[in-house]
Amino acid sequence: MRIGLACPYTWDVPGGVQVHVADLAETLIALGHDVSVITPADDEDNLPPYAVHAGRAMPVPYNGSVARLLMGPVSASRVRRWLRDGDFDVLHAHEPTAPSVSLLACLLGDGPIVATFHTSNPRSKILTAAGGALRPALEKVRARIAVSEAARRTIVEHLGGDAVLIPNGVSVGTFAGAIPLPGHPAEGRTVGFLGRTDEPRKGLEVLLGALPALVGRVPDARLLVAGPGDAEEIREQVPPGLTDRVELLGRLSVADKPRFFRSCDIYCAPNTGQESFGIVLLEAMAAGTPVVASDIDAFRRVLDDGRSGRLFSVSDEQALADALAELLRAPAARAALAAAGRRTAAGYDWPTVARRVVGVYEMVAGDSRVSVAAADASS
Amino acid sequence: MTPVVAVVLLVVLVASYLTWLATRLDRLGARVADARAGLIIALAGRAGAAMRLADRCTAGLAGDGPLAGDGALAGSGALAGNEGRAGTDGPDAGRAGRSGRGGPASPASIATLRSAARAAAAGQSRIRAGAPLDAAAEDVENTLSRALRMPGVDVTAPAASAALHEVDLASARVALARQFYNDAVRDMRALRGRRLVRAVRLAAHRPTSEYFEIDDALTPPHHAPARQPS
Repeated sequence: MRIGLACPYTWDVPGGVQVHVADLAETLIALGHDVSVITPADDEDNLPPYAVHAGRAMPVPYNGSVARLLMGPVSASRVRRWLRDGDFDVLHAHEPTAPSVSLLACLLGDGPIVATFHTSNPRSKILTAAGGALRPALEKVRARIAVSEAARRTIVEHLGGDAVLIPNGVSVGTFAGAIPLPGHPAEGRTVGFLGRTDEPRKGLEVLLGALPALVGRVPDARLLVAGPGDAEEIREQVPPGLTDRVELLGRLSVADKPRFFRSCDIYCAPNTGQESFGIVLLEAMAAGTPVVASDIDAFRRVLDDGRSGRLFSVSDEQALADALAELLRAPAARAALAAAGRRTAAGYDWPTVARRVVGVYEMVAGDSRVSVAAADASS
Repeated sequence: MTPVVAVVLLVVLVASYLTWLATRLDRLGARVADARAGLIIALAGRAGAAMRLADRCTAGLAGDGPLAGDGALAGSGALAGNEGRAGTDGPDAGRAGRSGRGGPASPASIATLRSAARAAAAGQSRIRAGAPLDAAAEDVENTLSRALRMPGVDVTAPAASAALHEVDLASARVALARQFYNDAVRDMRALRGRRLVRAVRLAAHRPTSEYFEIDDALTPPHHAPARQPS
């Protein structure tokens, strides 16, 4: 099929939606489809061969963080040209509620349009306020996909109607085949943490709080902490006398992330809330690393109610220390959990996920193709 | 002079707004029509798969043993699992719990399945010929859903795993197509319901589309996984 993907956020700035679009595009190309992506970018030279530049995006505060968005006559004419030249069987717009390329593509395109909703935000003021203004664009969408149950609930509540749930994919092969970081696996038994260290909801504080009790029961236990954040600040939070048990890696490159998981005996996700999906858990499971995670909704779902990873009650340091100690002392239990995790991750492998997306494409494509909407064709 | 310009301007503005609304209605009309065609294709796929399942089961009952030719796909449960994976929203998520439920293998329930599939196929031909997607059409499809879940079919069908797998995939497609259709109908009705659209009778020449509500779960309602109201 000829498939046009619209990505609303700046390609060369790290972000979940961009990674999703890139992985989906590359998987679809590997499956034999003809794919073109249109996206804003800071540097056109950073774009892969399958991507088309829509212009430079402007930073705008959105949904609690800074999003870089793009609307205007120049980008509109680029989107229009992309639609006309692409002659797509299906247009797949990602996050079409953000004022950027995806919304433009929905406004300017006509025909088989599919949209994927990534954000979950139960009280989205923007969606509530802009719901009516977005309607003309969104009523062209013939099939909606939500990447998580939370994202789906957001659609049902704000826009009405329903959405097909197709989760994020994971490149299982990249994670399963990675070699550990230099110097790893190190002496002792290692628990890994990955995420912004200065963001309380990522829960590093809970894990550091559990460290004394853990070391009491597993004397050679160590923490491997990866993610952006101030190193000094973390060292100050480490309980006294345990600084030599905590190794700080800082921000990981994309290539080092799989190697990080392969360097840990257990991956711990002590998040205290507001996660909509938990892709990191799947990446750890794909790497064959057993997962211990807080029992928030999203994690409970991904870990299949505790069958593919150990859950502990959220923010409970003692419960976390118990779960980690128990698993670190039981290699057989770790191996069983790793095997269960690998099976779960396999179901989220990108080729599997992309085939389900193509199933949706085929259902909406029919005989028609994507065209430039009649009212806009003249301009 | 100025009032004339203002009036002309107002008329132009109102006219272009109405034209824009009419364009949206046309587009939504096309979307509803395409979704309706997709729904009928999906329903026909399910009726066809049900018919083939009935044929395989009859052959199995006559041969009194595992069905020849299905062995290669005996493990295809994994494939079906991928479609409705992780208990997401695949109606086939509950299939694992189906096989092995009590009740004797029964030629009578296979016969019921066959006649339900035949009735569904006949109904779909009428719809293609112009009959409405109405309550009568819903009844026919519901009868097929129920027939596919009969204990007698449940017991016989696992031996015909390839045909059963096909029914699962076809049923999942019906659920999706129905969702796309109902979403299109919902958007259409929302726009038609606008006061201005009704006042100038912009949609008067279009027949109103009705939602298509059937029970397309593979497991009986009390066994079915929780689903979002659609």
